[in-house]
Amino acid sequence: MEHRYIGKSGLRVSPICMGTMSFGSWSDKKESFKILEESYERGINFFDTAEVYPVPPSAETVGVTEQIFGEWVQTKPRDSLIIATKVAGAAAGWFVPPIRHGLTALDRFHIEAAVEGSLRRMKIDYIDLYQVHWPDPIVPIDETMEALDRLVQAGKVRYTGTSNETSYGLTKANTVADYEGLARFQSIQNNFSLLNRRFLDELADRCVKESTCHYYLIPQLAVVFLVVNTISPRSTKKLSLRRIRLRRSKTEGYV
Amino acid sequence: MSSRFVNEGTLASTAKYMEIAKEAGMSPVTLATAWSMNFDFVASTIIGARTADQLEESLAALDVTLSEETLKQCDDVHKQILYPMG
Repeated sequence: MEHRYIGKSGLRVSPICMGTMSFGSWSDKKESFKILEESYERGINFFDTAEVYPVPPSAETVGVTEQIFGEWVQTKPRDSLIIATKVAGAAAGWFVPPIRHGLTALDRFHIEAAVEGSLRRMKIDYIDLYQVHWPDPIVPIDETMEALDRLVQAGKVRYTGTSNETSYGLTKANTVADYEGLARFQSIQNNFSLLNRRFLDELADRCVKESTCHYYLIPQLAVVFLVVNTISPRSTKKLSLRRIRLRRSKTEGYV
Repeated sequence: MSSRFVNEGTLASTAKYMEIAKEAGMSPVTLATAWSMNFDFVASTIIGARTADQLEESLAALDVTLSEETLKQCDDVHKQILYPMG
């Protein structure tokens, strides 16, 4: 298996990363283990999760994905895996995550609480790539970058990254990091697919020019295809756009 | 929100990409995954699966190199239906 670097970090990852957001909702524990085992056997060493998974996020299931994944992790040499997870962004706007009483923010308090929770649920003592799941429009990025840097200094996190971010947000964060001597974002995880090429407008250029960010992305077309594929041929004719919409309505947002 | 992912534009685009995949002799999932892996700023592409059976179509992208013709066909779909997800 060819491996690639994430940004200018020491993280060497397989060109395909196994996502986990269905573990504990659409995929039960047994199936989740099967998916993890099969991908690992095929040479996948890179796994992505989040404190708010599974999707759709709910108070009843939140954290289950990291628990299931963490249980599987115990069966493998820890340093053969590159584990990525995420701290929830600000509880603002239309999405309030069902954790920490819906008061999440990207300040030092929440970032430290989040990383401890993820380490505990996964039963690991460090995270390879710790990402901001979505931005915080209020807390200054300086505070966020400093809080993340402390995790790197403490050995709880090897590198940091961001997600669902704009080219301005990315550039600003890394400019602050450079100025303050803090850990830079080494990755961004944004939507990018045949159906959504917005990343090419600005962010792709940012990645190249900053030369520190390499990116990993979700081919959403595959998601749409998988939904289409799960519909039996018999029912396809009857399937209206509205019904497909209903099927998808709970799975969106910050994935 | 859901219309962002599934709307007339994404469905029409998807139908076209399914044709391209068929012509290229691969599944649409393989095409979508291989396409995103084709950019040098992409270090890794996240895949998802609800069942282990669904894995193969995504992992198949590891062994696929898309031809110039296939890439051009994909770009043509984008030009016909710009930013279907908005």
